[in-house]
Amino acid sequence: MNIVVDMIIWVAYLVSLYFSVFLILVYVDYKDLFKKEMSETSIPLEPFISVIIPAYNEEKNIRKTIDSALSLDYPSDKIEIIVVNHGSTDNTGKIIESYGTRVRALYLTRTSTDRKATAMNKALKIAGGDFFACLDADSFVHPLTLRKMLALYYKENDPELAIVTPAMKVAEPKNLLQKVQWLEYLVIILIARVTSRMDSLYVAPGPFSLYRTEIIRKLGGFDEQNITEDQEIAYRIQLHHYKIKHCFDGYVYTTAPDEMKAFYLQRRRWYLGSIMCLYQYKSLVANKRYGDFGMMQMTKSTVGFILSVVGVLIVAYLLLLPFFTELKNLFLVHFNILPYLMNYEFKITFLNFLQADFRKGFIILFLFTIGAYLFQQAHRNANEKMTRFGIIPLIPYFAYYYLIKSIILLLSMIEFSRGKKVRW
Amino acid sequence: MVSADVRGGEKPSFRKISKDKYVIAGIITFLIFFLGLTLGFILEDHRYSLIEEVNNEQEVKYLSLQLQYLYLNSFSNDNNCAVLSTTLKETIKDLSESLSKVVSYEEEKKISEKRKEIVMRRYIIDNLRYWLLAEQSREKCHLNIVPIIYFYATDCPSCPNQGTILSYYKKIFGDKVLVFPINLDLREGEPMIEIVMSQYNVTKYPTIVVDNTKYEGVVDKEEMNSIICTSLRDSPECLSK
Repeated sequence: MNIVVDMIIWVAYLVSLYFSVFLILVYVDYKDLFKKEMSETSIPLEPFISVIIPAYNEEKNIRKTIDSALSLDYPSDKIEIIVVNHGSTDNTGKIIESYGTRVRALYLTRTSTDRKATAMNKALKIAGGDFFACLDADSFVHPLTLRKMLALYYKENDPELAIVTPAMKVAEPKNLLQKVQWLEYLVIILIARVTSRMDSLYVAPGPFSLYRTEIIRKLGGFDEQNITEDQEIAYRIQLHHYKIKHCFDGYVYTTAPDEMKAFYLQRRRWYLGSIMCLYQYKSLVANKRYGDFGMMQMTKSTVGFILSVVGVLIVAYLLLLPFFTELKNLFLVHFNILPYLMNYEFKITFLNFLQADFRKGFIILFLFTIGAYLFQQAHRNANEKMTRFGIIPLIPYFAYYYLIKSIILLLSMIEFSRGKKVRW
Repeated sequence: MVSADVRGGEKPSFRKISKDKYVIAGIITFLIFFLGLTLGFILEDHRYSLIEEVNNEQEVKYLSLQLQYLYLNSFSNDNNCAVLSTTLKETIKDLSESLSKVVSYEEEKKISEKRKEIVMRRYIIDNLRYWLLAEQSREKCHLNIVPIIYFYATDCPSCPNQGTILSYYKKIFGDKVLVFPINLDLREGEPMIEIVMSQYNVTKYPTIVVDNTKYEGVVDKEEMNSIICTSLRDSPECLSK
C-alpha cells in the first residue's frame, strides 16, 4: 500500500481514537451522577412563556404541532402560542384560523431571501414571554417537557443560562431510514448530555429549545443570513460566554425524513450550515479563553469534518482501486468469468488470518467497542430498548450509515468551497 | 464577521479546561496504539515461523519427488509414473498456493527486507527446480502437462495483465498447466536466475517460455490458448473450442 495513504490512515485512526477515549472518560466521570439525576417537574415560579411555531406550507403537520403546544402542562394564562404563517400557499392559514383566540396568529409575506430566522425574529418582537421556545411545525413536544426545562433553569439559578435544549427523538419511525435515524438521535441525546456537562453545546435544536428572551434580544435575535440559525445562535451564545444546558429527558418528537432525497437535502443543509458556522466562529477553535468548548469541542468539530472527508476518500481508495483492477482483469479475459465460477474455491487458512493487519485492526476494534458501548448506554439513558424496532435497523446503522453521512458531508464541503469562490 | 465578545473581560469562571482528561485520553490512546504495535510484532514473528514451516514441508516433498524421479530413472520402470505425476502436481499446487501467499506479504511490506529477500529467493529456487523436474518427468513419463516459465518484475506495468491471463488458464486447465513465476527483481542475489535468463536470452519482461519457445511481451487470451493447446495432447478443454 502507498506509504502516504498508510500514514494518513494511521493519523486518522489515532485522532479518532483520542476523541472517542476522551468522550468515554467524561462519560465515565458523570456516569453515577447520570444514574441518579432526575428532572424536576415542580417549579417555584411559573414565568410567562411564548411558544413560537413558524410554519410555511405545513398543512400536514401543523395541527398536531399546535395541539402538542396547547396540551403542554402549564397554566394557560401563563403561556402564549404564536403561530407564524410565513407566506404559506396551502391550507396552513385556514388551519391556524380554526384555533381562534387560543393561538396568536402572525401573518407574514414571504420574500425569496426569507428563512425561518426571519419569522422567528418577527415573532420575537411581539413575544411577551420571559422565556420563549421555538417549535418547528414538524415537531411535537411532550406535555411535561416545558416544566422540566424550566426546572433546569431554576436549578442552575444562573442568569447567564441562555438556552436549554431538548432531548430529540424521531416521531413514530415507520420505514428503515427513519428507524436508523431513531437510533442516531438516541446517541445524540447521550452525547448532548455529556457535552452539556462540559458547557460545550454548539446547537440549539429547532424543535423546542427554550431561550431566555432577554439575552437573545440583547444579542440581536437570530441570524437571518444563516441557513442553520439554530447552530449559529448557539455559537453566538458561546462566543459571549453565556451558557447552554441540555435537558436530557425533556422529550420532543420530530418528523425525520422518510426517503433518501429529503434526508440528503436536510443533512446537506445541516452540514453546510455547520461548516459555515465553524468558519464564521473559527477564532474560537483551540481558544483557551473558551475552556473545553474552545479547546476540545471546537477542535473536535473541525478535525471531525476533516476526518469524515478523509474517511470517505480512504474507503473510496480501498474499494475503487481493487474494483478497477478487477474490471481490467475481466477485460483481459474478455469477460469470460465461467472458469472462475466453475473452479471457485473458498478456503480460509490460518495463513489468511495472519495476513490481516493486526496493528490497525486493534485500533478499529477499540473504536468499534467504544461506539457499541456508547450506543448501548444511549439506549439506557433514553429508557429505550435497543431492539425496539428489531435488529434490522442496527445493521445499516453500524455498517454504512456513518459512511453515507460522511459522503453528504464531503459533498457539502465541496459546495462550501465553491460558494466561497463565487463570493470572493 | 464575528463581533467581539460583547462582555469582554477575563475568562469566566465556568470556562474550565479538563487538562487531566486531555492528558489521560492521550495516554490511553498511546497505550492502545503500542499494545496494537506489540501485538502486530508478535504475530509477525508467528507468521514468519509459519512460513518457515511451509518451507520445510515443501523441502521434504521436494526430496521425496526427487527420489521418485531418480528411482524411475535407475530402474526405467514406467509403471510408477502415475505416482510421480500425482505427487508432482500436488506439490506444485501446494507450492503455488502457500508461497504465493508468502509473496503477497512481501508485496505489502509486512516482513523485513532481509527476511523478504530470503523468502523470495527460496521461492524462486523452488520454482526453478520444480520446473526442471516437471520438464524431465514430462519427457520420461509422457505426462500431459504444460510447464510455463513466467519472467516478470515488480516495476513492470503490463506484467499483472500477463499474470491475470495465466491464472485464467490455470483455472481452466487446472493441474495440466504448471506456471513457474520468476521475479527478475532478485537476479542480483540469485545466480540461477541469470543462468536461465541467458539460456533463453530473456531481455524484456513479461516473457514466457513454453516448450523451449520464448514469447516476449504480453501474450493475450487467444494466443495463450493456442500455445497451451499445441503443447497439450487431446485435452477436452481444447477440443471443445
